[in-house]
Parts: sequence; structure tokens; C-alpha cells
Amino acid sequence: MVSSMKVHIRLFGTLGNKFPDHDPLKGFALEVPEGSTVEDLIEKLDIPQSKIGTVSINGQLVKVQKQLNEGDFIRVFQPIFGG
Amino acid sequence: MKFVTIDMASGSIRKESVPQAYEGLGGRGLTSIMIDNAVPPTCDPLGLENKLIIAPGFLSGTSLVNTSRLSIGAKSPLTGGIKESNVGGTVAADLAHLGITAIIVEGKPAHAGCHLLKIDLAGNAELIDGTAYKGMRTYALVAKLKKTYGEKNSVTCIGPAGEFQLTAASIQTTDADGRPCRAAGRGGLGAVMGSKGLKAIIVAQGGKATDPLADPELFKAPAKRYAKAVKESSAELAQLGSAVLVAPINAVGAFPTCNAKFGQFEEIDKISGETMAEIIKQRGGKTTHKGCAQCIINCSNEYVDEDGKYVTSSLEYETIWSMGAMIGNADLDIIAKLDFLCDDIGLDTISTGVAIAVAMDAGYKPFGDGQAAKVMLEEVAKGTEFGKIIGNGPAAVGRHFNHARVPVVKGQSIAAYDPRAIQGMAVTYATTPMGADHTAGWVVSENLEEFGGTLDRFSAQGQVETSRNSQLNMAAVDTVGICDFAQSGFGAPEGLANVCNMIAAKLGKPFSEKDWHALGIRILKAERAFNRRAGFSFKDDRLPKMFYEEPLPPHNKVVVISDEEMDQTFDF
Repeated sequence: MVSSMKVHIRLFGTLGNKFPDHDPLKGFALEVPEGSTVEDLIEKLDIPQSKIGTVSINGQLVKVQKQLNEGDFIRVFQPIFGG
Repeated sequence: MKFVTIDMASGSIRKESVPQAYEGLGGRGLTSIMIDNAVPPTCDPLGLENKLIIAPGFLSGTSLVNTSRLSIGAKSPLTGGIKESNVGGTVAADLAHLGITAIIVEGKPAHAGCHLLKIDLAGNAELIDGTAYKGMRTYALVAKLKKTYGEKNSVTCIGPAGEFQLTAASIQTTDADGRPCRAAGRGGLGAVMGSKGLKAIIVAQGGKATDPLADPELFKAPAKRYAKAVKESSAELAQLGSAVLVAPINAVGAFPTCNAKFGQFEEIDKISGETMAEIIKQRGGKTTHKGCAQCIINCSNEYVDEDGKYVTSSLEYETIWSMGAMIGNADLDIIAKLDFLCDDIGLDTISTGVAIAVAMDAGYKPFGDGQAAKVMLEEVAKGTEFGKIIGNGPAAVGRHFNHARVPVVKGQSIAAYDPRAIQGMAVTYATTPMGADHTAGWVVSENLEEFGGTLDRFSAQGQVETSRNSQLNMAAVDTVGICDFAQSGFGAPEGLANVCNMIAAKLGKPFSEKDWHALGIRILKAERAFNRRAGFSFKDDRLPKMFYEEPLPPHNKVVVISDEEMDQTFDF
């Protein structure tokens, strides 16, 4: 049996809109199976890849293949545009 | 299609059809090509030979969405070179609805005066004595003008900073709710308006004399497709405005902090777009607001205080940076107040925030002292000696304190993207004829792999070509008058073809994608030619030493674009 671990995720921009429990300033905590990657987490949240820009774990920029650890704080930003 | 030319020396006003040499132009293309043709490059920017040219975009006034963009051009007293400063609000649409292609303000009154220019619904222009308005701040000025001349006018005006002819002075214009909170901030053009003795331009709304389209049928389908693409991709801007950029740019370490000593601000969560939106919501303000005529994005907002009372509109990314992280200030209420003060006094929030940051870096006040920043702005309004130094922008402050860490190019400050963490912005800041200007060639997403970019943001590889292409495109975008934030329309299938077809429909002759590119080249050539004759050389297309010598935490990189590479940017 795969045990689970707790991580904290904060979704920026409009990414958090569809999650009623998501606090725009704090995010929310989630249980994910041990060994999960950022990609797995995003898939679990059913967010399309095209909506994902930068991801950081505990303040460090990471690729989506990065494996998560218990207690990680994940920030997910949208692709940007502007000028 | 007419020019309205006002000679401030004699007070005479003439209306004429647009001369052939300027046909098919609007916005930046018109202002820059006319300045190159008709303003002596070595003239005193605050003297009688300079011209202030005010032109809606070529597509302003048409049914295309997000086209109420106004270009204001002149020789800049801040940079000493050519300048186009771009602003939204309603005035571009209002002028276009009167069939006015450009207002040209030339000459200078023999005696310092204060005048108003009023343009009525018939498109007739009149100069009015404005002595009663002298010295007024913009919010009170607009309230008084609207009381006198009616609500159904847009007002484009200067505050005390423009009257003092300070080189960070903006020209403010009214938003969709009639507040002077939209700024043509860059380049100190408020000082040029002040030098002409012109306090405000009052333009009647609701004109019915828009230039007819040569082929209205050809216009419809591409305009509809363009609008659809903009609507589909603007949810983030509607919810958070341009402040949506604060958190991600900080996350990638490119958010200049404490006069660009760091690339990340420790207290970023207090000033992010998400935090701003929550504060506005809790207090009953507006997170989504229509600031400009014909806008379907609604990226504006209304920031309110704890009692729900209006503070400012619209609190934007660049200002949250310049009055926030750049001066080490994590108090959004103070940022909002500083934004209001800049609009009210008539100051560019970018140049002014960076001027304060340089003063703090030089030890005048500690970083993070928001109250001190407020006092500095009030000094500008009062016209004290130190206020004039702040109001003349960061380079003036650096000279005053003999302080070398001044993040400017050609005298104009960088914006909220550190060039050491996004090398493409180093090329744009250094080479644009405008002086450091993020909007001249925004290559941020191309530089960030995480956002779909293909360039290594710490390498020189491909940066010159990317910046060149972006600068050429922007010169054309600013000519047709499409809002920067509505450029998502270009990303749709056939996006550029849609725009070219709309231009063709107005012109009555074919306009190809090749013509679009040629338009960009023509404008940049004119701007660079003007600057060359004004005395600029390749040596002016450089960043200040701090960006080449001081590694920027957290990535600890410096700018790596060589001088030779910079000099290849405009290879035409």
C-alpha cells in the first residue's frame, strides 16, 4: 500500500478559482501519494498543462517532474503576458 | 482626417487636411515621423522649436475593441531624444470620433501663461485663458473643468510637476469615469506641455465625424475575430489586472528590489496582485473595472481605503513595483496613496518611484520608509528645491547625491523587469530610441522557459533578434492604437492578418504582413535618425555599469550581452 503525505499548494492568478477551499492568499493543504511529482499533483487538481507557468517548491523554481516531499510548499503560477 | 495645429506664440489655430506625407499613419508612427521631419533634433525640448503632438491610433474610433490608445510625442526633456508616450482612457476615441488625426501644439507664449484648449462637438478648437486653473492638481482641476464645461468631455492635463517643467512630469488623461488617473508617464512630456503654457485639453465626447472606412464590409469579420481572441484570453487581467505579474516575476528573481540590489522582495506576499484583489474585495472596491473606452478586458481596478473610500485607479504592476519593492515598501495602502499622488501632481510613477529608490540607496532615507516617500512627493508638488530634484527623475537624484547606482538608459529608468535576470530586456532597455522602456519590446515570456519561452534568459543567445522583432512589432502596434494588453488578438489564428485586413479596410488599399513589418522599420529608422542628429551614438545604447558588474541575487547573474551584440539590434 502506498502511504500518503501532506503538502501545501498555493495557486496564483485565476488558477484557484475553481477550488472553493482554496484561500487566494494561503492556498490549501492536500494529501498526495508518496513519490508524487508536481505533474501528478497538477493532474490530480485537473488543471490543464497549458495553464501552468512557473512552479516553485519552498521558494526554489522547479520543473514539473520534480518529486514532492512531506510538508513541501508548492506555488503554481500562470503563464504570463503583459507589457 | 484633419490636423489641428495650435501656435502658442500667436494663439492662432489652424485646421487642415492631413498632408499626403502622413496619410495612413496614426499614433506613434505619426508622432515619430512628424518629429523626425519637423522638430530640430538639437532644439531645447522646453523651447519654442519643440512640438507636442497628440495622436489617436490609426484604428482608434473604429469598432475594433481596445483601441482607445493615444500617442503623445515630442523631443523628450528627460532623454534628449525622441519620445512617444502612450496612454488609454477615452480621449483617443473622443478625438477620433471628431475626425481629428492629430493635435499639434507648437511655439511658446512670449510670457509664461496658463491656457486651456477646448475642442467642441463640431471639432472646432479654441484657446481659453486658464489663469484660474494655474497650479491646480489634476483631480481638482478636472472636477472644476467638468463643472464649467460639462461632464461629457475628456480632459488631458498636467499637474504642478508639468507646470514646473520637471522631467518626470506626466500628462494625465481621464478614464471612463472621468478621473485623471491614466498617465502618459514616460519621458517627461508633461514638462513639454507646461513649457507651452498649456494646462489642459478639453475634448467633447460623442462626436459623429469618425473617418469613414473605405471598405466597412472588409473590416467587420476580422474585427470580430480579433475581439473574440482578446475576450478568450483576458480572464487573468480582468481578475487581477496587470498586478497578476507581481508574484511570478518575483518568483523568477527578476523583480528589482531596493534600487535593484535584489531580484526578489522578501515581503512580496503583502503586495502581490492576489493580496491587492483580496483587500479591494474586503473593502468593497472594484477588482475589475473598465478604465478605457471600448475596452472588453477591464484590467483596471478601484483601490479603496478601510472605509471603502476611493484612493486610486488603477493600481498597476509597474507602480506596485516602483512604489513598493523598488523602495522596499510592503504597505499596499501607501503604494496606492503614492500612485494617487503621482496622478494628482502629474508625475510618472515609474520614474518617480525609481528617483525615490535612488535617494534611499544614497542614504537620504531608509528603504521601506513609505511615509518619507509621501513627503518627497509633496515636496515635488510644493516646488521645493529637493522636490524639483525628485521630480526630475532618478538621474537627477543620482547627480545630486553623487550616487552611481542609477538604473536608467538615456536618462530614463528601467521598469519592473531586471535585465540581469531577463537578458532580452537588457537589449530592449539599452537599444530602444525611447530610453529604458519595457513596452518598447516586451520579451519577458520569450525569455522564461516556464512560460513557454524558448530562450535561455541568462544567455545572450537569440536575445538581439527577439528584441528587434518585438520592437518592430510594437512600433506598428502603437501606430494602429491597439492596447498592449489586447495583443492576445495577434496570437489567434490569422491574428496579424486580421489586423492587416482592418488597416486595408480603412485605407482602401491592400496592406500585407510585409507592409506591417515595413511600417515598424520605417518608424524605428525615423526615431533613430532623430536621435543620431540629436547627438546620440551607439555609446548611448548601453546599460549603466551596475547591471554589468553587480550580480543580482538570487541567481547572481549580470548582463552578458556584449556591446557588439547590442549594436546589431537595428541591422537595417
